[in-house]
Amino acid sequence: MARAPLTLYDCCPITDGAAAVIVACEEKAKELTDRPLVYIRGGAQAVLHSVSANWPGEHLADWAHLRVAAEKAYQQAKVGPNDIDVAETHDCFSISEVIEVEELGFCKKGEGGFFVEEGNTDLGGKVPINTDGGLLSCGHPFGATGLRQGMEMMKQLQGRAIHQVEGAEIALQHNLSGCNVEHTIVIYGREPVA
Amino acid sequence: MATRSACLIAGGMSKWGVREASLVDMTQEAAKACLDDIPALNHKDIDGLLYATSYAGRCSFQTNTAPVMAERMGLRPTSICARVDVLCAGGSAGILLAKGLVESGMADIVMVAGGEKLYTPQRWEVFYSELASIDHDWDAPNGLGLPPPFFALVATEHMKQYGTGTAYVV
Repeated sequence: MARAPLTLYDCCPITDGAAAVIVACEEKAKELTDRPLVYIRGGAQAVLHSVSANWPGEHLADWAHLRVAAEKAYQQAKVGPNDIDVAETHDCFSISEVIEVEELGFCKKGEGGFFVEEGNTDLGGKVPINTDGGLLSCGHPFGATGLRQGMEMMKQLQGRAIHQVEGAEIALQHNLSGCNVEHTIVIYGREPVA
Repeated sequence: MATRSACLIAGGMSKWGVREASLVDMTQEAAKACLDDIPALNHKDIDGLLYATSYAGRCSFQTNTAPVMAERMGLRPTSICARVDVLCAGGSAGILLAKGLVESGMADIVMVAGGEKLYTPQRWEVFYSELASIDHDWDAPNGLGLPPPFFALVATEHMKQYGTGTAYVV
């Protein structure tokens, strides 16, 4: 089903699977675990269109709806792109991550390819991304993917991820759906929003 | 400003792949892994369940998924028990909804679970099923039904606009 310029390995596999996480109020969380607490600081889910004719950007590589969601999530979490220590982005296709790092504000618009190529998203880079492998490596059981991403961000902030980003304090999760009609962002932190 | 804060405190996954297992089987595996991740939590204290799935009903013969999964995971939610369907983003939507429920005081401990069983009724139907996710009056008749061709257009546009080469896309 792949189409040029994408090749088979630019496309995530469609996968069977399930995942589960627990969200608790701070008081209960303190009773239940000795691990560092991971607060859900903020988030947003933006839908500006569904039919492709109403695409919200200037062109198909301009993801205005992602920017809207990101701006709102950053505002709610009281952080900016430079504060993100580790992230999960929705790499359903290789091109997706290239555009997502631009629209999330990790680099300038149009420079996503170079940003990724230069290793900024690798472990040890400026913003390590998809430290558990992302959709391209883990596969994509639709409803479970956002939970896998959230779980990895939690583990990073608790210091127990397999590919650990040392000292990570703020983490961001980005999840999109359909033919790019919706963007969801969740921002986590070791501290609650003051 | 919220007076309560919500925390993500545990997580677990089933084995992912092309599985010879039902959606219930895989959800039970994930829930077990999740509860094993936080031994101090008694499952009886979980008062909410959000279940993220999109193709249950189409691929696995199971609708009304949240109550079914609650029973099969041994949960008896008393605050919320509902399905979330936002296709690929159902899981993160569930986390945001759980945050709102917990911060508002409507729930204290919410399990957000989700899963898909896709390679059914027959394996080849997985691609056919994906057509269920788009607007049937508009994009579907124009052939924009599946993500791979759409994202190929996106990649082509990024290369045209910004000079990104295939080396950066691959």
